[in-house]
Amino acid sequence: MLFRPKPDAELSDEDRILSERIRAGDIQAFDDVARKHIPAMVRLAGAINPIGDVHEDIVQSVLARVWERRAEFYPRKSIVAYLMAAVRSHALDVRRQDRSRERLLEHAGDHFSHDETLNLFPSPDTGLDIGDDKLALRRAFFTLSERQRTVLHLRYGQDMRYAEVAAVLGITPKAVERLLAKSIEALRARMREGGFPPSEPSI
Amino acid sequence: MRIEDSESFRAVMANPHPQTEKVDVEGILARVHDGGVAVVPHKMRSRRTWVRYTGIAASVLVIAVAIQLGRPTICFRKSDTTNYLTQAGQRARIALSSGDTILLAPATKIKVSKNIIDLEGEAIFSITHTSDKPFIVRTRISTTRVLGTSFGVRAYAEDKAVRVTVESGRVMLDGAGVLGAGDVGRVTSTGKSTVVHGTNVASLLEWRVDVLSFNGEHMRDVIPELQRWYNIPIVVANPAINDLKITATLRSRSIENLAAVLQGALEVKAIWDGKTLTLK
Repeated sequence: MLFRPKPDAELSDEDRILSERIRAGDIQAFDDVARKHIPAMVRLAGAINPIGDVHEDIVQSVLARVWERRAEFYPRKSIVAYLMAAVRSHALDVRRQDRSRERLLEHAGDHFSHDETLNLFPSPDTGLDIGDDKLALRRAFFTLSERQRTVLHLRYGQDMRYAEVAAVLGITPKAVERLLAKSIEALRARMREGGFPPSEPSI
Repeated sequence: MRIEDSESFRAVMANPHPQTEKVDVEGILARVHDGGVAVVPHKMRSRRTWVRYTGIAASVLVIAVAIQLGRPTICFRKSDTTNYLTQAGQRARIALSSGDTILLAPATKIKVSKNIIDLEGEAIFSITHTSDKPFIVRTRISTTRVLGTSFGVRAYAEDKAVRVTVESGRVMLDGAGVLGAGDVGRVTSTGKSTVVHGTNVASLLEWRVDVLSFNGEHMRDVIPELQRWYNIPIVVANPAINDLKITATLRSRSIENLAAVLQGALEVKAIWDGKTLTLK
């Protein structure tokens, strides 16, 4: 007889109980989970989508959909990996649609300005209290591809396990290791080059 | 030292985007419960860019972007006007730059142009009063001037009258006068207006928390509402069902639950085959 694992077989006891409560419509469990993970979800949306100020709206939409479809809430690795994967998916959708808009504007003879992206990298005379090394790192970070940014943020920024990062990106833990090494190398290279943003942000 | 061991690296990786330094956790959670899926409108272009391209933009720019999870809410932007559209089965919350919010019911269209909103469908407005810039909500047959309030306006194309429900504060409904909290004003296409005071307005605005209530309404009026809400076709195999009155509260988006409620409330057979709900 074939062995078919339960959808939540890999969850910790805490995540399994919370998932069950959310599926049963326990709004307190949902709120507890949301409160715990909202800051990290918003920051992932920011790492993926440098343009615009829609990061909180992205997270709101993801959580609203989770609650709306709570009967289908079956995380596999962990609740945080499930939520992060949902944020990534939605943030990429928003990003794609921004780029569709960009193409429409170009088609109409207009030109989309990347001023918004450049605002992330203020010049020293803006008076913002931001260290030079952090500024250079931010500049370099946002020249990386979306996958490189996501893997760096989840692994080093949110201390997620390789298996969880793999679940978010839809790749194997081994592939996460390789991607992480390449991302670090790319970041170093961009830092050496000065970390200037490219003419068009990477995705 | 390796880059990944530096303090700056850890700090930037933890929060790469400067705008996500502070996160309004409770605000997001409240909006999740209050408004559901958020509309993510286009970011307005900078004034500098706008000035540069204003001629072209004014003449040709109609931008359609579908932003949502799965089924999209579609936004159109032209000049300083933005149109928002929800599909059947979809709600959306719009946060205006002024801090005011609008919650759209399914199958609703609104056009936002500065302080004027044109509405077809149903929406709940939470508006802060500013005396120098009154907020105006227009439908095909009524105009409501906002005096700082939370209120709902219902004006679907098939509705015989526009309904304005005031939850708090005051609004001025043309033809009916000032409405206060608990008042429900109606204006028909012939201009006849009525106001009912002391209404249980909460039940009329419950759709914002995923609750639909019917109190002795004819099925012929209720069925279009259900089709909008659940985004499904409903076939009435027995015309006598249209004349039945229903009193029921629906608290779930599940179509199976809807079928069970209709069966219980009307003593009819409600059969959901995965595509169509048939009543007989």
